[in-house]
Amino acid sequence: MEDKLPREHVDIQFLSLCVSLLAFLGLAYWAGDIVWFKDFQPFITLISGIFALFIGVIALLRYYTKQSSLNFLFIGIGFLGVGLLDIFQVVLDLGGIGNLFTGISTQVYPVTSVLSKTFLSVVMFISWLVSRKEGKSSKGRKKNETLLMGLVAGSFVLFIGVFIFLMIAGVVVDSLAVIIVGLVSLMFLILSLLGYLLNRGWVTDDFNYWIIFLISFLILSQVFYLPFFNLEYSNMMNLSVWARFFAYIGLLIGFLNSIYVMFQKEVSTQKELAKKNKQLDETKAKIEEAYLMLREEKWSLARSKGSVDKILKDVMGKK
Amino acid sequence: MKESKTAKDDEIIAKRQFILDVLVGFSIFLVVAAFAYMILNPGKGQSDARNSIRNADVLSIMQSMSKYVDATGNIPSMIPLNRECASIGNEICRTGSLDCKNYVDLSTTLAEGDIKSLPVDTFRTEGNGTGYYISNDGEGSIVVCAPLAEREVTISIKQFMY
Repeated sequence: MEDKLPREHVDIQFLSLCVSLLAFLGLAYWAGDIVWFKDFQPFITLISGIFALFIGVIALLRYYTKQSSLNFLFIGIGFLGVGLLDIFQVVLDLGGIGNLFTGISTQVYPVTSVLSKTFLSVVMFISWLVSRKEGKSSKGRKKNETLLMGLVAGSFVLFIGVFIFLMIAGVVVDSLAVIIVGLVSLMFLILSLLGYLLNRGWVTDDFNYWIIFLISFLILSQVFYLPFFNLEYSNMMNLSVWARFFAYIGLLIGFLNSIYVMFQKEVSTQKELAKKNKQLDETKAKIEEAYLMLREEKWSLARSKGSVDKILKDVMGKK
Repeated sequence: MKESKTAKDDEIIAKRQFILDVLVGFSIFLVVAAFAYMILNPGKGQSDARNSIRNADVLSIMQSMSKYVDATGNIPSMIPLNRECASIGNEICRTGSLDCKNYVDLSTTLAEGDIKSLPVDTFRTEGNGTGYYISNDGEGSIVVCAPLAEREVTISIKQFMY
């Protein structure tokens, strides 16, 4: 059984998550008056893509070195795919590789963007499903989880149904496919968040907290992308990219922290081993000393009885 | 003695834990409240309303200039020749201001238009300027703009006069 993290540590982690979310919402509120804020959008998208590739490689490496957790495999595949898509989008958006992809217009940009978001949310959900199967949750807890998730999924299905109805009625026409796919990915993200919160992995493992941090910011990014807030559309697209960037940074920190914890465990194991070896050497020396003392006592006892001379004579006589 | 110290330590730890729990609960509530506030965002509504007033003001100044040009056949000479509307020296002076130095004094042109006094931007509380800028682009057009517009909105009108 794994050791529980100190409760104070867990509380501080969740407090910092809430403060970061609040700070980001504050930034979003005032971002409308910051003129240069939008200038960084392509750069941040590119850096996010590179971070996603890093995360993908680290996750796959983690899966390869410790093949017990399948969820690392899914996280790895997901982030590698998303990283490649993000970078491809930036290149398309800046008008690069125009000679190679002559048929691709700038209209492809939002489609690939929606697909990359959906892909990541589905992969996160699958990674949670896999970790749930590997975990040892009680039947009662699993039943509660299923009930709550069913409720959330049902609400989303209803919401999406309303949008489809509006489309049929001709009320909503613009970007309806984007809204529906966006809602589906938002649903998967919320289900993954609920899953990771309810399985209480964060009580024993720091990495689970960083996954929760990632999903929280991905949800924020998706809310900005759809867009649900009463802000300027262009600002929200930009903030969606920034939220994603912070989400990736969070998971990257999580991986680095997890590597550091593994390294620290290894160091403490080595120290423990060295300590035990020293104890073993000391015990061995003590036993040898005791044996020598015992032998010396035996010799002196035997000499006093003259038996040593007898033994010597026997040995000489045989020769 | 030692036992009482340990009991005191435990009490402090329990107190700190309780404060942390309360802080976590409160911050979760704040996040939910911030989400709700961002969905409604009344601040944006006010900014939008002020920007609408700015749009109307810019339009009325332009209409006034248009009437002056129709009547006289000339672009007012006091409007500075500048392609960039929001530049130093392009700000329109307030009606009735005693000192219009470094501002564009349009008081003589108002007689031709419908407006009797020039509108002033809500955020321009001090000085003799109105917060609205005007320029002549040198190609027969007048540009009127409101650089104090909020939430990164650009409010500018360009009209070809002759």
